[in-house]
Amino acid sequence: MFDFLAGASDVTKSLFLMVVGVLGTHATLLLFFIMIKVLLKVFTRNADGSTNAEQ
Amino acid sequence: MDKLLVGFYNMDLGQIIMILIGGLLIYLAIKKEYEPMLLLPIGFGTILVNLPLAAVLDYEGAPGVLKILFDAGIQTELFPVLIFVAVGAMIDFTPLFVNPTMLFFGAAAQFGIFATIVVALLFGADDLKVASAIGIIGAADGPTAIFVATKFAQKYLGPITVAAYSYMSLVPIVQPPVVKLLTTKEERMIRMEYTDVKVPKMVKILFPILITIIAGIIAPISVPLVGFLMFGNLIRECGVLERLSQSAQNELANLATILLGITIGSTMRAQDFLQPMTLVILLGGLAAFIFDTAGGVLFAKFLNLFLKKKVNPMVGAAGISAFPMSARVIQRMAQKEDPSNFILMQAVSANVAGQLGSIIAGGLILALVPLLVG
Repeated sequence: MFDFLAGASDVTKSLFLMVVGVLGTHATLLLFFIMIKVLLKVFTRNADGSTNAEQ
Repeated sequence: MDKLLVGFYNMDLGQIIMILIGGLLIYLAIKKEYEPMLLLPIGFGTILVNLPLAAVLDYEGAPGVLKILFDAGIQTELFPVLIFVAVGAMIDFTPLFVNPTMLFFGAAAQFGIFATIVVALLFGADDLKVASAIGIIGAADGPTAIFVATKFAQKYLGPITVAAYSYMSLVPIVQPPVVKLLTTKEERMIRMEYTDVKVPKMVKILFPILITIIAGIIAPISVPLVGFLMFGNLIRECGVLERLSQSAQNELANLATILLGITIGSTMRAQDFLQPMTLVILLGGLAAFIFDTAGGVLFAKFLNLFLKKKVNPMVGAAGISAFPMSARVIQRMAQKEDPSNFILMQAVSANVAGQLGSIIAGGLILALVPLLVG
């Protein structure tokens, strides 16, 4: 998958890991953020007592 | 006569040093209360395996009790996973639902893990796998550190675990100077609004299930980490398994901690621990916590460039997983600058986010490193 790093040193690979790891963690938590927002939107009760899921 | 003195003949200086180190860990656990639930069993385990002939590991060809526990509980990753179930049952994600933006601080504060991997390699870590196991100390999450170290650097499991738990207990000493160095007094005095929101039960139930599915698709190898944490959380939140939830939080947590601690202690043999790499691991762990804190604070400062309602950048430092200690430290620092400033809830939200961030970072490392090493 990372063939372009096949001959690279461990330090180079670790720098690549740092970039992908930091971005990957942010991207995954962004998905969690969107998921929480959607869940809250769907299941929070409106003033009339109904939820968006029920409508 | 020789047989009676066999213990004396089989004792060397390394073992004596390790017994003293075991004693030091027990002292820190009892006297200073530094993570006593882990450091005390580890300290006692260290003494057990450094006694002459180490009969708890192997005696006259038969495996000893600690060897059996190690093979059954650490090699198989069973003990850390059981701890995850217990931790999941203890976590209340409500502060995160109230303030989901804090998730990004939980991501930013994992920077230390990845930065330390680079630093560990520069300072002599054997290879990328060992460096990753050192970097994961920055997860500030014991079970994650143990899980990754078991996969990548089993021979350094003892020092990595000791470093992880020691620095977690040293958060009140490690974080404040870094936060102060990177923030101005005005920034530390920024107030943040907090509005309490009632979180629907359905959200709390669906959350652990969906997190497991998302994490399992992104990094399948992280499922033992994320899945069992979320399983514990589902037991807590479903509302019909109160007895199981209490058992997970108490009996399971206690039993797994006792077995995990003393078994980790069994890896602390003189020939494995007394070597230069232990120093690299201890210093790497400290660097990881410093980089984590800096990553969180600097990310908050970066966000403040664009936000109308400024964030107190100290909250970023609470994005590490050391829960709830880091949140308390940040609140204490805020009140030191302004006694009426209350940012505890935001700090707790970031802290809970850090628990998610750390296992995601751990999962990504587990997935990426084997691909990079080839």
